[in-house]
Order: sequence, then structure tokens, then C-alpha cells
Amino acid sequence: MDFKKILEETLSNVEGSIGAGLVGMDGIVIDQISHNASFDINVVGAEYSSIIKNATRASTNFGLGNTNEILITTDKATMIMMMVGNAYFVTLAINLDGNLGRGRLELKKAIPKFEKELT
Amino acid sequence: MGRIFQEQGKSDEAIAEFKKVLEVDSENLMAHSLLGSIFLAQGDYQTAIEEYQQILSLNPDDESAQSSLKQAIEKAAGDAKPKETAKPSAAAEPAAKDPQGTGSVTLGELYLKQGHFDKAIEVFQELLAKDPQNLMLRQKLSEVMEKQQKEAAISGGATSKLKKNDFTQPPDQKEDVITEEVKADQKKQPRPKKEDDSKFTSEDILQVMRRGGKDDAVVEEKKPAEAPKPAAKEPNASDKKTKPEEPKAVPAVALKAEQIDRFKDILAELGTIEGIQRCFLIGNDGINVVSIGETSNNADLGKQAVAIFQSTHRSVSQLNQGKLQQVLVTADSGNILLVSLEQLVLIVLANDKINLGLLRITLDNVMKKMGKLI
Repeated sequence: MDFKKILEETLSNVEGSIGAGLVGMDGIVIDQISHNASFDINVVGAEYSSIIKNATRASTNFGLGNTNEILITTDKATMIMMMVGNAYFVTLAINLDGNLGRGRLELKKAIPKFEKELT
Repeated sequence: MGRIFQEQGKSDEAIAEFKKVLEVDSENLMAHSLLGSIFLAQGDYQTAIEEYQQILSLNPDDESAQSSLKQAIEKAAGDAKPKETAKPSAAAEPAAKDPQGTGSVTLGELYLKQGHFDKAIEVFQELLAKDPQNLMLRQKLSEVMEKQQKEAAISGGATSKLKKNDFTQPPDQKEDVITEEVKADQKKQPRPKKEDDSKFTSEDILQVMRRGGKDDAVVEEKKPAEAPKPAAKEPNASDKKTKPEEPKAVPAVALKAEQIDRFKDILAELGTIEGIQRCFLIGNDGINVVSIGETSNNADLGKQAVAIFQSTHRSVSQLNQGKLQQVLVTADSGNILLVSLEQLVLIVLANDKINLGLLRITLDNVMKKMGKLI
């Protein structure tokens, strides 16, 4: 299973990308790539998983259905998280001057590839 | 290792070991539980409560944590009372040093949950007397009053003469009237005592704790009444109860009535965007400040928003990715947008037809206007 290859492809297609990773909903990182030494998804896998769980709880409670995507914006970067099936999610961090729209598109393209690998 | 230290009675070493475990795995229930038991044994009930809250936020069905939390709350309450009578001047002291204050909001909530409105009112009034400018406390008191009125109306009894809006008025104009009227009504209309007035059920405790367990932040915001400032400062790192690795909830901001009106106007502007179902502003203790549109279950959403924000804040800090600004949750049939604004969080609920680009642009303007108000 070459998750790294899919992540690499995604990163190379997104201008301003910092790093990307595939993470299980248990918070354990399956694979990741980073262009920035301080960006280590291993450190935050569990927190990301909590964010998704809390978001899912909120969206379900308010009749919005399942959570598909979470976008976190800070004054330095934007992090995108998208669900890969029910048990995994993929995350991508982009600089503020990066192409966020492209990032979302590339992640959406990568999801079926991950799903194929994971089934 | 922590357990060995604990068995040897080396509490400090055990705490250090369990904290190391939590640094690696913040959701380790065993570590939270063992820390809770140590703090409980040490008489540090507030920290023990925080540990059990963490467990219940991760696993609300954990009966052991429910039971321990109940025990910690009861002990905290029991511990606090004598201090209050022994030291009547405590009201003048900062809340962070006041164990009675930090426990009382939770107690008030529990009384409210049980329907002991008079006791809840008493608790919130005491807190308000110490911090008359605290809008969050006023809203809580307002909530209790409202529920009391409703119950009284149903039972056909006398009701309080208070109106919800009374609590958004400046304290110097309303406080005395409120207190006198409430006390008079309470004397006239004693609430029938329940089977066991002094006990809280696990479910009571859980429900209050599910509110995010951050109510204490409201009390911690206390400042001298003569010098209320809209922007509360960051919690002091030396605060005894603050866990260094946890992003501490910033104390809720105290807003004036005119500020709230202005916020409503600004939110109304945001509400003109097609697809927005509701927007509301909460303190980051999860308590509603201002809202437009549908308001049902805002409190629940507020609590969940705070939970999302806290996890996000931690992850952003750990990745050194700057200051958290926005979280957008996209679900099957709608979006939840959370925007950080000083001590407040703006929550926008929108359907799946919303133009997110337009929303983001409008939000920029809205946030600038709100920022100026704070």
C-alpha cells in the first residue's frame, strides 16, 4: 500500500503546501509527508481525531448529517481534513499564500485512491 | 511507573508520570482516572473534577468516573462552605484563589438541573454580588428565573416579577430590585422539597459536565467592580489549577447591554446572507451571549463548539501553526462555522447551499466590526 505516493502526489500538485497525512480515527498516523520539520502530524493525530469526533457529534445533533470536511484557519496556515470512509481521514496543511481551492480539489481526488488502497 | 509511585505513596512522582502519558496520549482514560484519584486524595478537588470531566468527555458512560466526579463535587462543595463563613471578605479576592467561587457555578447548575431554583438563584446571586459586571452570570441567573417563572406559571403559583432582560441591564440599576423581589417571592412560595435535596444523581452531574466543564471560567473572570474591562487578560500561568499543556479557556468577556445590542445588529447583517440558519456568539465557556435566528439547542451547540475549539486550539499549538481563527465543519447537509473573536466564539450554522466564499468575505467585515466593539 503506497499511501506515501498518493500523499506526495497531492502535495506536489498544491502550491504552498506544508504537509499531508493519512490518519486513523483512533488518532494513529498511517503515513505522512512534511515539507516543514515542525509540522509533524504524529504529534497531533489524536487531537485531529478529537476534532473530527466533536464535529461529527455537533453536525449529527443538528441534523446536518455526517461530517465530510473540516477547515481550520490560523494566522499562519490552513489545515484541511477530509474523511476517508468512516475510519480514516486525510489532512493537508497549506500556507496562507497557498492555493486552498486546489488543495481541497487534490484531496478530493486522493480520497478514492486511499479508499481503494484501504479496502 | 506512575502506578508504582502511586502505590509507594509518592504522589508527586506519580502525577509527573501520568502527565507524561497524557502528553503522548491526551485521551488516556487510565491516566486521567489515576490522576483524578490522586488529586482527590490530596484534597485538590477542583483538579480532580477536571480529570473526571476529561474522562466523561471522552467516555460519557464511564460509571466509575461518574461516581468519582460526584464524590469530588460533593467534597469540593463541603470543603468550600466553612471557608466562606470563616472569611466573609472573600468576595474582594480574585476568583482564582476562591475555591467557593470556582465550585459554585457548577453547584448552581446542578441545583438548576434538579429544579431547585431557589438554591440555584442563591448561588448565582452570591457570585453576582462578587462580580456584578459578569454578564454570563447574569444570563445564568436569568435562565434560572425564567425556568422558575415557567414552573410557577404551570403550577399556578406566584411568579417572580423578574424579566429576562432585567439581567442585561446595568447592575446598579437592577440588582437591588431583583434581589428583593426574588427573595420576597421565594418566601411566599417555598418550593416543595424533593425526596433527597442534598444529593445529585450521576446523570445530573454528567449533564452539567457535558456543558463543557468550563463554567468556572466565568467566575475566574472576576475583576473589581469599579474597573470593568471588556477584554479579560489571559489566565496567569502560575494559577494553581491550570494545567500547563491545556489551552485554558479564556475568561468570558463582560459585555454591556449596548454592546450586546450592537452585536445583534452586526449579526443581523450576517444573517442576511442566503443560507444562514442561525448565528450566535458564545463566551468560550460555551454560554450564549447574543443570537439571531433559531435559538433552540444553541446551548448544546455552544458546548460542542467549545469542545471543537479546544481540540483545534491544542492541535494548532502543538503544530506551531499560529493563532486559531476559524473552524469550518462541512457536513452532508450543512455547515458549522466557528470563528474566534477574543474571548468569544461566533457560531454560524448554514445550509449546504451557502456561498462559502461570500460568507468568508462578509465574515471578515463582521469580525472587524465586532473586534472594534470589544
